[in-house]
Amino acid sequence: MDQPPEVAQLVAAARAGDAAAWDALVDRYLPLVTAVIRRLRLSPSDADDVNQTVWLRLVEHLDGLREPQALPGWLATTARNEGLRLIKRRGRDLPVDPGGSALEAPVESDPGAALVQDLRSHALREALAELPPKRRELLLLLLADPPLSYDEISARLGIPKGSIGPTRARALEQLRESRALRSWISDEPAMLGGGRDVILD
Amino acid sequence: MSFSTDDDGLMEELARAVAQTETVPDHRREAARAAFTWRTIDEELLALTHDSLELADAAVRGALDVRTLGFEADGLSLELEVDGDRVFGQVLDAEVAEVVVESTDAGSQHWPVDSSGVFSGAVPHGPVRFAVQVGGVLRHTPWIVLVP
Repeated sequence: MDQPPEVAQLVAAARAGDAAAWDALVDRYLPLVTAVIRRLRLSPSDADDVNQTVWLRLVEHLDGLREPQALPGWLATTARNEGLRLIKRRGRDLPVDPGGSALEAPVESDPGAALVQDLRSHALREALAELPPKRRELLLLLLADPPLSYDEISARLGIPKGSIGPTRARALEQLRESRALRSWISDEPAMLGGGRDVILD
Repeated sequence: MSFSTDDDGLMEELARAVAQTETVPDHRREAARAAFTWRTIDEELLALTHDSLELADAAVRGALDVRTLGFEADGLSLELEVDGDRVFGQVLDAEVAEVVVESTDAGSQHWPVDSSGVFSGAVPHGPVRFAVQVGGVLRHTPWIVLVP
């Protein structure tokens, strides 16, 4: 019910020149790319350049994309690698600490774990998109910042206050059973290791 | 690693995931969408064969002052050298009169190539790719950012 379009369908449509399908791919993966870039703490203009390069690379590789499942991993590693190149290139202008690498300073201490975290967040957003609209809406209202009271949530969704708790529990159960989370668990190694292998020219 | 079986824990992780959606700058979305206008069909890619940035030890200062990159496809190769705000290049194993420098910032520029295959110009801002036409086939490098 209300399943988001398959990535493979969007890729095929974009390949055929459908700009709306491309926009849908962008909307789907931009938060992931943005999160990965943000961790690198680049200057705003370098961050913009990396973002643009990642999407231009994807446009260039649409025809060679074999495994849409591995697309998040490919985007995340491409963003990270391009960002690190800019850091290296800029690094020559930074004072060099003879005892350590100037490169490591602006980057988080465990880059692998950070990338996994960003990919998990992406999987959760995909899972949320799979939920029926009412359940998704309830979870989003419960996550609102600043928080909403149960009275407000009840009024907005037109459901009794007493059903908010049980509906939340069912929605989360459904989230765990979603395709996105189930395939995350089985594909995790491929997502992380397969970044380079999914593009075959 | 599996997802939290505890509802509150899962909600916390979900909160972080949703927050990432809300902090995407609009201009990044526009740039990402606009990338599609650079879609080209039936062009061959000149694959990156080396980038001195990948080899260089960041602690060795001089090693990074000049960045060299190499690209190759079907026996045709293109070499680039970024030195200060100039980029010098050479097309090897093919005779071409110009390279097309495509930049999201400045559009397409045509740089003349001399009889030895050598060309040069100012380092373009933002993502850029170099294209050469040989035997009716346009071949271009991947998009790269050349920092002066």
